[in-house]
Amino acid sequence: MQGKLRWGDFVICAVVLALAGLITLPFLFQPSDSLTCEIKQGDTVVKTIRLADGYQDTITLTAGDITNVIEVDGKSVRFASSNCPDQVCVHTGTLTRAGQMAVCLPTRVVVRLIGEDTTVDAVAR
Amino acid sequence: MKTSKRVALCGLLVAAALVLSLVEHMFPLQAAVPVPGIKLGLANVVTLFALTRLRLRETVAVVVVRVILSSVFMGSVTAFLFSLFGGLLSMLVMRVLLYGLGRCFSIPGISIAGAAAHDIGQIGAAILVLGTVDVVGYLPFLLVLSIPMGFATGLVCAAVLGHLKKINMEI
Repeated sequence: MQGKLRWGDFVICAVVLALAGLITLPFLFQPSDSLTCEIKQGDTVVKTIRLADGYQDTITLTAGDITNVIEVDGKSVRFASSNCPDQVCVHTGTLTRAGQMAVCLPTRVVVRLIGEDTTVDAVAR
Repeated sequence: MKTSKRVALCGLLVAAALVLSLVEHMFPLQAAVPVPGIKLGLANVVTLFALTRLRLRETVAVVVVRVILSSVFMGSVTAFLFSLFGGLLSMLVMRVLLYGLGRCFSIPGISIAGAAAHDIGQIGAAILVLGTVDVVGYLPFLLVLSIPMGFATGLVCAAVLGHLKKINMEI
């Protein structure tokens, strides 16, 4: 009866997977070297940091009574802490590659890593 | 079905959806699968059940009231907007697919589509709220996970419908 799988169910799964793959594609081609960290709150860019080994910084952003602490350490960025209820931004973990990002919805903060330089280190033929 | 019975069933379904959301909130699924924002979506069972038993406008009422109350209990204003977009889009997609129930689709399959639509609706709301398309980066993870999650909740719904049929309950 209703629980028995039909052919359409596999079409649904295939469409969902295809959609997921299609959206992932542009993110795969972002270069991973020469990282820039962009911190946005709403529409305004709060800070843009060129990431390099040994660089350390802590940025504190507030919105209402919620405070985000963003920690930059070398070539990685993470939400060190936040007192928002869902903690999604903190659970996202550490960002290390271009295209990765962490979002705190209550404060509307988006932390994004951008690979600016598209120069190639080596090409294998 | 009498109007009074329909109203009572709507209230019952809202209450059931709220309890399911609360129970779901107690299990930190994020600890097991490290994807931000992941959840089982048990409230989806209620939406799907309501779609098979009630009229469309009654189901809309159940979804909207559930979203409003659950954000009063545990969410914020932004979470409210996300759940509303996700909930309504998921409901619409499942309503359309239910026309093919039995012939082309099963309840678990429709539930997967609903779960995926819920994610797409939420990300859509996130794009509007944050004003950036970057959040789309989350979508692939959520979509892939919506298959097992939607399947699980779909099985629950199929089991409930099967049992009601077995005991010949007229609702």
